Amino acid sequence: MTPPFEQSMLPHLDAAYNLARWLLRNEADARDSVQEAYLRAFKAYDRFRGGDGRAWLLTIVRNVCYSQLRRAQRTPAPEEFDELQHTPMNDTPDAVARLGRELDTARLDAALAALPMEMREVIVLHELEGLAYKEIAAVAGIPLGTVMSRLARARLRLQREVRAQIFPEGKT
Amino acid sequence: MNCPDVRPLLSAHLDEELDVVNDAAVASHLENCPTCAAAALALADQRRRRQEKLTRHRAPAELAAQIRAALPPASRVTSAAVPWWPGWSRAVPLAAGMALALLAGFSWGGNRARANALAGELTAAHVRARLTGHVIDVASSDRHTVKPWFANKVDFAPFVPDLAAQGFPLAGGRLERLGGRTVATLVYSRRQHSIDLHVWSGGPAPVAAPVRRDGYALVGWRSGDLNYSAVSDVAPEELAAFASLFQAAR
Repeated sequence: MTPPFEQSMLPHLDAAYNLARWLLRNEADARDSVQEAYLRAFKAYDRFRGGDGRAWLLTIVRNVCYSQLRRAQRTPAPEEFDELQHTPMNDTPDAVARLGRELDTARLDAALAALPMEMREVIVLHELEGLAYKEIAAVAGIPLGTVMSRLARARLRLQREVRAQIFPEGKT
Repeated sequence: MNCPDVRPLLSAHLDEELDVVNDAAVASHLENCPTCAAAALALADQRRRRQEKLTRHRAPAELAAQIRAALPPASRVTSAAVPWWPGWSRAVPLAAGMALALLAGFSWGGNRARANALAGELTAAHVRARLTGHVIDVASSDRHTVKPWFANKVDFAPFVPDLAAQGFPLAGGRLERLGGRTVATLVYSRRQHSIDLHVWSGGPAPVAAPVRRDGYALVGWRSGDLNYSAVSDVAPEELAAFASLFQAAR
């Protein structure tokens, strides 16, 4: 017997939104896609056998996002992401340190946003959502060994992107 | 294993996702190779920084309401009708008998319904704590802080092992009210997840066999006079590993 839809699926709303937001890199599209994913999940809910609800839902979210991106490719691509704004500050040391921390987040976020989609999604699923490799394999529809190698490559690539954020000229 | 074999496996080794044989080979290589050990440290440091700093986008507040509004009312949350606790304080002999039956594997239907209700209530407690943000009353990774905190609050002393080295650091504890009884809840972390371990004294035993409920994993056991039920959104195998480690730490 499966529990009511809301009870099993709404607790995963943040995970669903975070995945969509990172895949689509846009708040409005993420919101629409999550809503559509929930409706699709609801319609397909009688096929859900009470296993891993989060992985099941994220699989649908991912599919909706990929369709959305395929549709969007027919229209001119928008600006991918904002360049880092290094605003010079003359502020208290506290404020400077705080800005440093926030810039760090901005830099990492920008590096992740710059990764190819299939690398971005394994990082988001594993490091932000904490999915085990097996769950990622189910969500992305790829073999376990691929999850392992893709995540390893994505991490190296991400580190290169971070470096590129700091040294935009390609200096090391 | 030599360096070129080890490098591609480091990432999975850090995630504790390698099979036992490869994991042991990588670990023994790292003990003898300072270069690879340094690379592993750097990877771990970068991962930690990302987990701390990367933005985890939260759904806008109105999104849940919009989704709810688009669904028919039949899907709405209903509360469990079957009480899982048969009048706790006055039903000890009955409860003790049932505990044995439960441990024996739920051979009869009434128990199955009760176990289902218990699983539902434990899962609901886990979800409720996260929705309301009331996950931890005493936040500490030090078991010598967490254990005494329960001293005046429950009539037993929960066993609080340190499982950080095995990948399950202690996050803290809180009190739960389940089945009309105060339950000591230990909270352990696993990557970005947390595990609620509910501990209570007496009464019927928890759901013994590992089960899944609403996408959450549950496992329970009995040790001495205390009953243990772990609930989490980690994969069931990981929760089972947690349960074995916890019991082995005795």
